[in-house]
Formats: sequence, structure tokens, C-alpha cells
Amino acid sequence: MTTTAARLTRTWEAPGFVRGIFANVDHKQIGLRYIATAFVFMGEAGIGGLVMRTQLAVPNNTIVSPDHYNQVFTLHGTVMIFLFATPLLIGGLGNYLIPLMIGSRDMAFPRLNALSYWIYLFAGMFIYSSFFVGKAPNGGWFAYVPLTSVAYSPGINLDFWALGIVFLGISTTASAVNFIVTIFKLRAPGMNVARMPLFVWAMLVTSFAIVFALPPLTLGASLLEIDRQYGTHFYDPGAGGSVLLWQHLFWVFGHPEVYIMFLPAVGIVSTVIPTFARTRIAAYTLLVLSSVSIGFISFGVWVHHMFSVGLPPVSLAFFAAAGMAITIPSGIQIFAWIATIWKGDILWRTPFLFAVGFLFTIMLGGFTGVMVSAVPFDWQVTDSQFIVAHLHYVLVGGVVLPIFAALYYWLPKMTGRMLDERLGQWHFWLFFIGFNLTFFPMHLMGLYGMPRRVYTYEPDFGLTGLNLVSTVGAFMQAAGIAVFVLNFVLSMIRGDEAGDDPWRAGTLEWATTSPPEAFNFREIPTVHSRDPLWDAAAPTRSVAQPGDSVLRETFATSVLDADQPHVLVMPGETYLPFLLALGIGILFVGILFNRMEVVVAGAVIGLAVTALWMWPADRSVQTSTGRKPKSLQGTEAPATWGLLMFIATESIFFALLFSCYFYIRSGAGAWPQGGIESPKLLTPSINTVILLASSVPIFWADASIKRGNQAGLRIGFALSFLLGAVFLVLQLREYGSLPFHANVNAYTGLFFVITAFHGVHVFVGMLMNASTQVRAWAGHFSSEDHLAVQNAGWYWHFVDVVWLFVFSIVYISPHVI
Amino acid sequence: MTATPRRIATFAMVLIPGFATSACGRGILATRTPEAKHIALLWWLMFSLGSAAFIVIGGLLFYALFRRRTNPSAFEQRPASQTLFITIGGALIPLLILIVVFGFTVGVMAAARTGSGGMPVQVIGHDFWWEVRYPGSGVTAHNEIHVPVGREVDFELRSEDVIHSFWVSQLNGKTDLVPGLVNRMSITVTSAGTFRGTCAEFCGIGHACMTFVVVAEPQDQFDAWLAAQPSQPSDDPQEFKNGDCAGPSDAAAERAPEPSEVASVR
Repeated sequence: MTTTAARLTRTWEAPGFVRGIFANVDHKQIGLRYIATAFVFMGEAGIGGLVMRTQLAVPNNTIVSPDHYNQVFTLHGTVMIFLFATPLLIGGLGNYLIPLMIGSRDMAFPRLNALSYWIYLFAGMFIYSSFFVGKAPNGGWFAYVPLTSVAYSPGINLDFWALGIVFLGISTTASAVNFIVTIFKLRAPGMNVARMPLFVWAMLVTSFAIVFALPPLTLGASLLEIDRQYGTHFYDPGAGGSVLLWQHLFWVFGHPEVYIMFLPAVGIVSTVIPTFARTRIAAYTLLVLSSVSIGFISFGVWVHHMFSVGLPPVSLAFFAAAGMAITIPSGIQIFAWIATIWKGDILWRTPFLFAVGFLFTIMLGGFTGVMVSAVPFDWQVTDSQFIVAHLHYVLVGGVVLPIFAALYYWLPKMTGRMLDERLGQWHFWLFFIGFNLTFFPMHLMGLYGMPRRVYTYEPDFGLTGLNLVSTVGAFMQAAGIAVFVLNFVLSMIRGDEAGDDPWRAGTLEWATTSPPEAFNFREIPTVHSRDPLWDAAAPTRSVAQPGDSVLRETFATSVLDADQPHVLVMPGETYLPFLLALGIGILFVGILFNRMEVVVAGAVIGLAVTALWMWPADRSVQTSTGRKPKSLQGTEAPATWGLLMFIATESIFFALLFSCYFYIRSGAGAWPQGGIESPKLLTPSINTVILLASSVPIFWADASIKRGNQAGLRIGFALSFLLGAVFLVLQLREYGSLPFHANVNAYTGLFFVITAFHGVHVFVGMLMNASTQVRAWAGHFSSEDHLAVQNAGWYWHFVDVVWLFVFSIVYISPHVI
Repeated sequence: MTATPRRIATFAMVLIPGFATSACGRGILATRTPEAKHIALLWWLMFSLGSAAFIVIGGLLFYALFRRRTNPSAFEQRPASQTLFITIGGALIPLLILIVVFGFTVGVMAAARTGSGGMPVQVIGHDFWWEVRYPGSGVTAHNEIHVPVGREVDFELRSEDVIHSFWVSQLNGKTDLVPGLVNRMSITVTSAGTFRGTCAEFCGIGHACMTFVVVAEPQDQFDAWLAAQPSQPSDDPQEFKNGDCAGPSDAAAERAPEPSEVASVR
């Protein structure tokens, strides 16, 4: 047994200092880095919160200048949401816990996971560097145009924001795809969907929400940056654009984002409560359904944030109803937790205390949430301090309290050391009372008529007392956090040994050592129930085990039932994710300073690293079973699911671009705007034929390799590549013949962005095609192993189908409607 | 240990009645128009329902936490009754409450429809001041809006630069001033007084100082005020730089800026 462990350690551990830091792909290491990084960002943004509260402690205060205040509240919101709460929950806790909870040895795509972290770190540094050069974004965390357009915010401040958000979006989307595929494919044998821990369910719903919600943010921020740097007019009503387009795009992301943070928190509470009530969770199925339905409803609520912009009353009433509807699944959750506590037997420990604090505060946050769904009341309190109170009850009470519950609960697993109970309770009470003192008075300030985002107020406003109380509360919260840091440091120095399962909990992460070894589980367990560690039928050794050879192996199972385990070989340490993130970072810095040579350098590094990434590892190594592992094909393979999720998020991008097109058009008089003629149809018609024709050889190539025919594969891909190249050349010629540039009005901007965005996809498809051709010549594919061929082909077909939409909407529709 | 969660509940319970009784004198509950009064009623309805729900649910949670656990609960053995408890308490009762709240919401929205038979006033938002035009008389004022008591006033709201939001909390909810759009909002002030108004959408460095006053006065006084206004606005520039608030808002009318000067300050 010990030799098994030693061999596994040799295979899975990242040796050496530099390798251990820059080449590590272990999900636990990445998760810990996320948690630590997010905590540093929280400290910085928290200090920003203290600065704001100090400035507002008394009327007419002059601690900070108005511009500095605007920078501080913009960074506070941006950092807390994008760089603290979301990454800590998803990248941090999700990364660390999901593979352990589902009985896997790593995430489905360990290298992509490392890439997510490095991009998160670099994007965070990118955004925060603005602060150190005194040019922090100052347009608020939702960056409303036209205030954030170059006419009203000429500095580089907003470029840091818009580019940082796009940069960071790559990381968040990659994480979400990784989680979906991991949860779909890497669950231990026997863990069917009805046995998945509720935290895993919550992360699954959240990840889907990210896949669908991030594109509107990325698109909105990209259009903003294109407006700012290249003079287009998407958001400029003076040239046919729309100010409200930004608000729609931002809040189609922004409202789901609330639940992207809240659902993992719900998952934490649903995990912590049954452990400390020492009973199974009540109404598991209802809790799963309520998480799923919250995920769906959250996409129908965005106008909730736009009630006062002057939309028609009928649509307001619809969005009011949608906003209130979220109460139903939330109510089910609250009552399920109460029922669980009711039937259980309470063990009062710090994680449970934070969970109970969450229950009380989220009720208030939820009630004020219903209130602001009531449209006329929202007219009064929107953009007032009442909203500041509401959103902090939801995000601090509803998300940060569960984060602390999670840290007290799972840090013993991560470090092997217990945290001190007494200090934990000090932390809870300081933070909980401080939180309520800070934010409860803001409800009253809002009702009294105090707007948000004001750097000062007058003494005769009558709000001096409430503001002072609020400031005192803020410092109490900070004291609570300080106690937590102290507690953590002391636990690392002299904390009690945690042991495998200090809480006698029911889920799989407690079945292994604390901290877990690099390979998580010596043997992948077989699961027979929802709380495997609580059941008589304890997890058993699987019939066949992935091995302990020099290859990293774990199981891939079927999506719904988690049966038919196949051995899946995982990649090991590599510097490629770090280098790719660096390349992308250089590219973004180049865009920020408008330096083409830097952009090109970043792109070249990125493409070179990607090419290496696509090349499979040494294929001669044998597995433990002494033969080459069966290479997984089709839906057996995680990569197929990853590609499908990638295509899903790309489809949303195009759907949004088309929506923008019709949204702008619906507000325009003549179309195309500015007396421009409708586009000529000859070149795009030829291109349609070419692109559709290019799909045929791909079908043929795919069918050929399935029969083992190498020549068909090579010829098919080469033909398709040529047709793609012809398409791009014709499109560039068309651009050259147009009498206008992108920066004439909103129409011209849309025309170029939609067609060029599709053109980039053709180019990416050609790169995938080229890499597949090279591998085909190297003899990588056979009738048993042709996954990359399938994926390159599917992507190509996707780009073709999108062209049909582009052609119909951009070229045909101006002629016919 | 049992004392600590009790303190949570006590803390919340003490604050809520304080919350209910503290709002008076100004703000959204000290209403002076029927429009604002409807919204205040909607608030009191939701506040009462929310408080009741907090007490009931908080009470259930409190009981669940601290009930005597000498006998094993029958509840524990009966998943069916757990599901019934969760469905009725978490879904059915909230649904009924929400139907009531939604009905009131739609009712208040219907009552708040903008009219068109009243006195027209145009309000144009600028960085960081308010231009007020009385189309009937050609008068233009700054940061000070006079309206007659008891008569419907139809505001036409536009912006010349970024998004602003028009908010006089005692008179009505906010309406945004959006570049490229014209928004409308109507009020009828029922008693004379001076009401504080402010920009409620973050509009840049001078946002906190973009305040104004609404002066509601009897029709004859209003007419006299209107007649006394010069048809050309004062050309005395407002000394507004770097976001320092330029002083009390009601004094700002005398120092209203020329638009060109504000643009140069920006």
C-alpha cells in the first residue's frame, strides 16, 4: 500500500520550487492560490470601503477629493465582485472542493485550470495597477455610458476597466467550462445526478450561468473600448447609437452575476447546515430544483435595474413579476434549511454560526429585493442609499457570511489544522454586528432621500448620526476580519490536527487525508448514496482502478448515471498556461497603450504557446495496465463537452451581436443610417457558397478517418482550409471596396464588428484545421483515435452555420425589411 | 452558547420598530403629492408584510434552533411532512403575498401614468446643473423650479451630456434624463413648501453637488415669480471647479452658469 502511495506521489506531485510555482496544474494548489489572491484583493477593496465610510462619517468631510472618492467606490465595487467574491467562490472553493467532492483526482482540464488562475492574477494586477498610477476607473462599477465614453472620461482610467473586464472574462469563462465538464464527466462511479452534493449542484448551475452571462459583459465592454479607442458610435445617440444598449448588455450580465455569487453560497449553506444539525438535508430534490430555477429566472430580471430610464409600463410590469418570482425558489431554500435544523441536533461551531447569521440577513436582503421589484417603490429608492443597503445585505450577508462559513468549515481540510473556536466566535460577532451597523442605517438614509455615490452631504440633511453609526460598523467589520487573519495565522502555527474528518461530515472530501495528497484518493471510491460517509454502505473500492504508473490517471464516467468508468489520462506539469496568460496579458497591455507592436508580440507568444498546447504529450508511455489506454471518443471524452460549452458561449456572443443590430435598428429612422446604401450582395453570396462548400470535405474527412482512411482525412482538411482562405480574401476585398469606415455611425460599426468577428472565427477555425493537418501528417489519428478531427470539424461547421445568420441579418435584411 | 443566536434576533427585533418610526419630516415618506403618497402606501404595505414574514420565519428558525431536543422529533421520521412544510411555507404562502404585492404595484403604476393636461416644464440636465424652461412664457431658470400648488405639472426631461436622474423624494420617484431620449413625469403638489431635489444617477465629479430645489407656491405667487424672471438667464458664472459643492443649492440660482463655461470647466 505504501509503495502504491509513493508511486502515486511521484506521479502527481510537482517537484521543485520554480516548477512547483509556474508549472503546477494541481486543482488544490490552484484553488489555494485563488483563495489567497482573492483575499488580498478583498483587503485592498475593503480598505477602500473604510476610506469611503471615513469620508462620509461627518458632513462636508475632506479626507478624499471627489475624484479620488469616485475612483475608490468604482474600484471597491469592481474588485469586490470581479476579483474577490466570484473568483474566491468559483476559482477558489470550487477548484479545491469539486474534484474532492466528486471523487476525482483533478479537474477535467488541469492546464486550462492553471490558465484561468494566471489570467485572473494578471487581469487583477492589470485593473489594480490603474490605482497605483492614480488613474483608477471612476465611472462606477456599472460604468454607464456616456459618462464612460471618451468625451466625458478622456483619461486612461476607463480603458483599464473595460480591458480588464474583457481580460478577466476569459478566465471566468474557462473556469466555468472546466467545472461543467468536470462535474459532467469526472464523478466517481455510482455518483449519479441524484447523489451529487448540493454544493456541486450549485457550482454546476453557476457555471452554466457564467457561460451564458459573461458574453454580454464581454461584448458590452469590448464595444465600449472600441468606441473609446477607434471612434465608433455604438453608444453615441448623436450618431445613431444607443445609451440604453450598454445598460441592457451590462445588466443581462449583471443580474445573473448576483446569482453567480449567491448560488455557490447557497451550496455552502446547504452543506454546512446538515453537518452541524447532524442530519440529512431536508428536501434535497426541491433544493436542486430551486437552484436550477433561480439560474433560469435570473436571466429574465435585468430590467429590474432600469426601472427609471423611461421604458414602457407593460415591460416594467413583466420584469417586476419576474423579479418577485425569485422569491419562490428562495423561500423553498429557507424553509428547507429551517426544516433541516428543526429535525436535527445542533452542534454549535463557528461554520454553523456564520450559516445562521446568513439565514437572518438573507431574509432582510430578500425582502428588500421584493420591495425594489415593485416598480414605483424602486423609482423612489433606486440609486439611493437604500440600494446600497439592499445589495450589501445580499452580497455581504448572502455571500460573504457563507464564504466565512466555508473557510471555517474547509480550511481544516486544506491546511490540516483546526481554527480556534473562541476566536472564530469573536470574528463572527464583530463582523455580524459591524455588518448590520454599517448597512442597516443605509436603508433609512435612502428613505430620507440620500443618493448613492455622493462623496459628501450637508449637515442640515439630518443624516449625520446614521452616517456615523455606519462608519463605526465598518470598522467593526474590519476588526472581525483582523481576528480571522489572526486566527488563521495562529492555526498554522499551533492549531490542532484536523484529522481526516473533524466534523464527521458526509461528503467525499472528508474521506481522504487533511490536507489531501496530490492525487486526492489512493483509490477512486464507488458511491452508493448522497452522503457516502454516513452510510452503512460506505464507499467501496471500484472493480478496476486507474493505475499508479507514470501517467496521471483518473476515471471518466457517463454524464447522468456516472457508470461505465473509463481510465482518463491527465496532463502533468507544464509552463504553457503561465506563458499563454503572459502572452494574452502583453496583448491587453498593448491595446491599453495603443501600441501595435506590443499587441503583435503578445499575439505571437499566445499563438506559439497554443500550438505547443495542442500537441499531445509523449504518446509512447504505457499505463499501469501495461497497454495504451483506450482513447475516449465522442461523448465519452471530456474534450467533446468542453468544445460544446465553448460553442455555446460563442453562440451567445453572436446572438447578442444580432440583438444589438436589431436594437439599434429599431431606434433608427432610415436603415442603414447616414444615407449609406444597403450592402451589395454579390461577394457575400459567393462567400456563402464557398463557406457552405467548405463543410463538405470536413464531413468526408471525418468519415474517412473513422474508416482508417488517412488520405481522405488529409485531403478533406486541406480542401476546406483552402476554401476558408478564399473566403477571407474575398471578405477583405469587400472591406476595401466599401465607401465607409467603421467609425461613421452605429450602423457602420455594427457592420464591421459582426462581419469581422465572424471572420476571426473563420481564422481560428483555419488554425484548428492546420493543427489537425499537421497532426494527421504525423500519424496521430486512426479509426480508434480521432477526437481532435471531430472537434476541429464541429467548430468549422459551427462557424459556417453562424455565417448563414450573418449573411441573412447583415446583408439580406436591409434589402427586405 | 445558546445566548448568542438569541442576541441576533433581539438585535433585529429592536431595530425594526425603530426603522418604522424614524422616517418622518423629509424623504420618500413625507409626501406632498398624490404620486408620492401612493408609493409611500406601497412601502408601508410591503414593510408590514415583510416585518410579519421576518417575525414568523425568524420565529420558526429560532424555535428550530433552540427547541428542547429530549425526544427525537417526529418531524425527522416523516419526509412527507417536511416537504409539505417547505412547500406551503416556502412557496405557497409567499406566492399569495406576492400576488397581493404585485397587484398593488400595478395599481400604483397605473395611477402614476404621466398626464399631459398640466402645465409643461422642461428640465434639461447638464454637468452639473439643471436648466429649467417654462415653454409658455420663455422663462429659463437654473437649479430652482417653481410650481403652482394644486396644479398638475408635466415635466419633460432631457439631458445634454450624460445620464442624470431627477429626484425630489417628497414629490415622486426618479426619472432618468437620458441623452437621445425624452422622458416625462407628472406631479401635483398639494401644499406649499420648498423641497430638496438632487441628481440621483452618478454623473461625474460634480454629482454630489448637482442639487436643486422645488418651490411650490400658490398660483398668484407663482405667476408673480414667473413675471419677475428676466427672459435671458443671468450671465453670472457659477464658480464650480473640481467638484467642490458651490454652496447651498437654493443660492445657486443667482449664480447660474452659462453652458459654455460649464463645458470648459469639464
